[in-house]
Amino acid sequence: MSNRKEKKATPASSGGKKREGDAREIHRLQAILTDGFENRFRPLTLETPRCLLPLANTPLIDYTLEFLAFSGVEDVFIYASSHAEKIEEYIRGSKWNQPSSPIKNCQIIVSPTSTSVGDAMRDLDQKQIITHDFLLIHGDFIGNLSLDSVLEEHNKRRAISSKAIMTMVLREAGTAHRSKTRSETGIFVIEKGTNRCVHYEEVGTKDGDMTFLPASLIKAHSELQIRSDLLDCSLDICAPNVPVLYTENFDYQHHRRDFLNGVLRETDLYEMSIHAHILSDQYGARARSLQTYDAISRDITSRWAYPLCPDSNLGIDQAYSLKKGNIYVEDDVSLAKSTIINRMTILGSGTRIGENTVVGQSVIGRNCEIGDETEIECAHIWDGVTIGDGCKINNAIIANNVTLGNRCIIQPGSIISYGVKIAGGTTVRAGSRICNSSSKINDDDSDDEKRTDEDLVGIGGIGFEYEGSDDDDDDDDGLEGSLRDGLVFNMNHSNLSDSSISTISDDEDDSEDDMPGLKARLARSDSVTTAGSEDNDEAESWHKEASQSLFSAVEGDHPVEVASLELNGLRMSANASWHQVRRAVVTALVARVEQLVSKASKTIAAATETVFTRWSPLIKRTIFERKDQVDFLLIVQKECVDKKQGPTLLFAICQKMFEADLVEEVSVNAWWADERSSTDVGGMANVRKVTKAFVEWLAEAEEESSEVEDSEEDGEDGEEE
Amino acid sequence: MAPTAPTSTLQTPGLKWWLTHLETDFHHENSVELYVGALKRRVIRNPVPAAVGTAQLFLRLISSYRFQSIRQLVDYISGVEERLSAARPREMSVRNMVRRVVGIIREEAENNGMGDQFQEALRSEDFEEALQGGPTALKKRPSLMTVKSFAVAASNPSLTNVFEIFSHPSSSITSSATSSPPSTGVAKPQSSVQHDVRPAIIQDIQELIEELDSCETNLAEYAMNVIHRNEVILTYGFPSTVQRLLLRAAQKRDFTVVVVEGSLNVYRKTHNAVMNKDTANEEDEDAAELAARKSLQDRGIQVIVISDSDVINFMGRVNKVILGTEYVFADGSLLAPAGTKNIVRAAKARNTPVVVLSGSYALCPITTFFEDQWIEMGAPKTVDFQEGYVIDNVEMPNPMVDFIPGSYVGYFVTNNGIVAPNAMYRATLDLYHMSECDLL
Repeated sequence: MSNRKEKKATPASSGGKKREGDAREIHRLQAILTDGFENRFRPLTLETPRCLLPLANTPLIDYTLEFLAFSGVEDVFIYASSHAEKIEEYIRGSKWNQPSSPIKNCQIIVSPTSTSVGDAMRDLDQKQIITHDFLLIHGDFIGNLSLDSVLEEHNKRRAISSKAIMTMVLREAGTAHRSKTRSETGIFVIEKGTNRCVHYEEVGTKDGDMTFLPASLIKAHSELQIRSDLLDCSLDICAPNVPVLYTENFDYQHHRRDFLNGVLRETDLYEMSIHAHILSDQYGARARSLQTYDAISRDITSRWAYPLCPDSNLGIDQAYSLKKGNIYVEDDVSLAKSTIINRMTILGSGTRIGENTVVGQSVIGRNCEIGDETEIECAHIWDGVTIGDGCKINNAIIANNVTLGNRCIIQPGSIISYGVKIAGGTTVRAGSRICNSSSKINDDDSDDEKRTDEDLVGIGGIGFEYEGSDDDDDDDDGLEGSLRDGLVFNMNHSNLSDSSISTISDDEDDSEDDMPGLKARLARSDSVTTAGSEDNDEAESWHKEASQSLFSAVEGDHPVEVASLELNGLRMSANASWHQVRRAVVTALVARVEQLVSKASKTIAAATETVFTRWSPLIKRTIFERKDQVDFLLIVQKECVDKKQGPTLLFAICQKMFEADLVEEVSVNAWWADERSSTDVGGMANVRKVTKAFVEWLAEAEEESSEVEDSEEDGEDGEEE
Repeated sequence: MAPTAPTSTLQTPGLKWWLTHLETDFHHENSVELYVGALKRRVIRNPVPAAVGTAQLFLRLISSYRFQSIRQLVDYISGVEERLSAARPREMSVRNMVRRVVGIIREEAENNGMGDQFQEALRSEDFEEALQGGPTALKKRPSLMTVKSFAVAASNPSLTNVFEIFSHPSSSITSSATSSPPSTGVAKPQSSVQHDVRPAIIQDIQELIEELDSCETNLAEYAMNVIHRNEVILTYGFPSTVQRLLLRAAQKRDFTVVVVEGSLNVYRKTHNAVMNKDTANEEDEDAAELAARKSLQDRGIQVIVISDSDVINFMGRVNKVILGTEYVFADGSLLAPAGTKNIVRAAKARNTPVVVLSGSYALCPITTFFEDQWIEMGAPKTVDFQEGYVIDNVEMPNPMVDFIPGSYVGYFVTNNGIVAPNAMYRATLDLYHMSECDLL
């Protein structure tokens, strides 16, 4: 078959004879498989690399390798960075390493320093492994698309012009598809006819989101398709110059955001073209966030990825059979007579389920013990989990060897990581991420004293809340990644909102969009809503630019007017909201305070005093009404979360701002009462502990005064609700 | 064009890939495992490729396997069969081919005066357990050799021996051989068994493979018996067996063909087949052969494509319905591509005769009472994947095959003759030995 293809491609090429020569020594397509390089699955990925997380009771990487196997790829290089030893161990012990494996050459390249696709590609270039076109794929890809037609078109294009360096595989998926990542939608601008991708943007999926296309695009091309309905499989056939380009541009990290955008922007420089292959009838998707993990699990149970279905028993020791209603049951499952198994459910072997228990749309791993009268809906329960009687589990991920006592309630969006034990009668709040104390947390800001949190897991339980980390700003995905990613792994609930956050408004917006059900619960203020489009790249880059320029102004002690003018100019140019402006101001000022503390060795209080006195006019210009003050305080709090002396810093700033009359007492109280400020998640509650004294003092000092203000405060609260 | 841009290619695994593998790097253990994987991954699917692939595999396995007794060989084959059937219990041509291979061994054993050894092997408990204990869904199905024919048992001279076999399977070799001088079974020069039997077995398997290859051509031989002048023939999905038969008939007769385009699983293939294009399928045909073949239209036959909702309207004007099939059971019921049931019901309603074409590889010596277990479910193509809301809330089963009771069928055309549904069991048993069947 491949031969035939080769022949077809031949006439198109100019040097037909030469091609023939090439065809004789056939280069088999090689695949480079990389891990996700993202933190979206924390805390689950603290102990297991992402590609080994089970999806429908099979590790993710097996789906990817199966896909490669039935596409006929025989050489695979696996780039392992985090938990490389575990990946290596797994592959060595798996069928892929057997002599009978259809993948003849499965190499693992351990490269612990790689933190992004960019690093992996640079490493690849250095090692000179690649001599011809290769396939770039991620360890969380699942699909049954036929690669040979993609390759055929790619080769045709390559034969005409060697500048067609890359073909991206995209799947049509409508606008609101469950398998699309909700956090970032790629907008592809594609030239009709040639399928050449000429522009790429990433935006959130909120209505207010816009993207600007350069006018030159329209001028240069007669017919363009601007598409946001494409599901990016992150499956690319790349020419050998792709790694070279990465080396040339050492700052490229992300394959789409940096590389694709970079190449497209510099079209004149590189004269290279990147093409899209749009599929409309086969399946392909990536489990890149919890939300897509859940969606793809559903896709697998409803057989979209056929033949990658549980009952194909692709794993060596699997023995699933399909029952009506997409129920897959492995051998040796014991169900009580009154157990009800609803549709789209997978039950692994050795699992026992008690009387009157109802299980629906869930995946249950092997050797699980589930008690009587329990309800499990839309949950992912991995291996060896013990669940007591009368529990209610909805929309949750429960990892290996978790124990739940009797009458536990696990609310939607919860993630319970390896080995956690939840005592009987506990309610796990929606959106919690609980991990076991034995798991090590690599984040700088983790509080080492964190031990079992009995409020959370009940008396006798083991486990504590996982603190989301936003310390990896340098990693592109870190910021918004860890943020939205985690989120919404299901549409019907919210709340992961308070998971790991970099900007408060982000979560807010996401939750409002994705989960109407809980909208009312969440505090909403206009300033935040207008703050809108923070979570796209543009906002993020604006934030960086603005805070940096402001910081240099602060550092250089420029006049307030000049700095303010500059900031305003920036704001107008990007149509940024005042919320963003405030955020930039806070970031810059806090950074300055920190700088003073570390360099001029001032105390925090003194440094805050200096900086905030000097720049209070600027702050004033960003605050117009009372709720802006609240917003400002929230931003400050947020900013302090990941600072070393955050609590003290927050205290100092609050005090100073109150003194400088930048915030009123009412706002301080409103802020203090705000749900987003008091939440446990993301360390928000932690950071404000020190400030408590200040708020209490404030309350005392004002005790005698104003009932008026009390009533006002109530009003404010009401508004907030 | 830069000189340093060699293109990469890909060989999508399929039957061709598998045959190349057998040619180039066959390994008695790895190849079996690879084949199991290929079956599971559905890179080898559909009855014909699976039959050819299996027969070729066994040809290689038997030629490389060193055995000292017939029993050893049969045990070995049944062990492999167990793994293959567990991988794809619904691809029954795999099992059918093993049956044929076992049948070949039986014949050759008998020809060489080792018939009792063979029967010994069949009766051994290990063998039965191995076949019965398949880990997959189809446990209820009686296994390959469940029915020990009583004739076999009776032929054994000593009654105690029979009991002995059940209680001490390990002793059965020696005890069985007692019919001849006490220790012949063991003492007989071992290699001689291999020498006596193997070449003949290999030759027979090669004949079997040839039979598979010529199956469609043989079927087409019946064209003149099936199709008459000026008839209107309706077919579904236009499988290549039907296409060949019609082409053959078109050489001499003039008729009209109505093709029902079929369900989402087959309509593209149907359209390609009607237009005589490459079916882009790794079926058993060469591309060259396909291209050389004339289309029906070239031969002056009128071909009409209709949608399956029109079937009932057209049925009144149709003289005969000719269908392809995947598998035929011993009771005359059959599995055919999803949507076929629609056609046969319409045909029944209009009293139009239904003719089913079936190669011998598809005849399964099985009766079944659990229709559902034979139906493979495919991807839910019935709804567009883009309809995010719908696929969230709706279940969309997509069976790949329909189960059709034998009562709908007028007659079968096999490469061994024309058979009525209620005589199907007879035609099936001609192919296999009683003791290797799964009849109840």
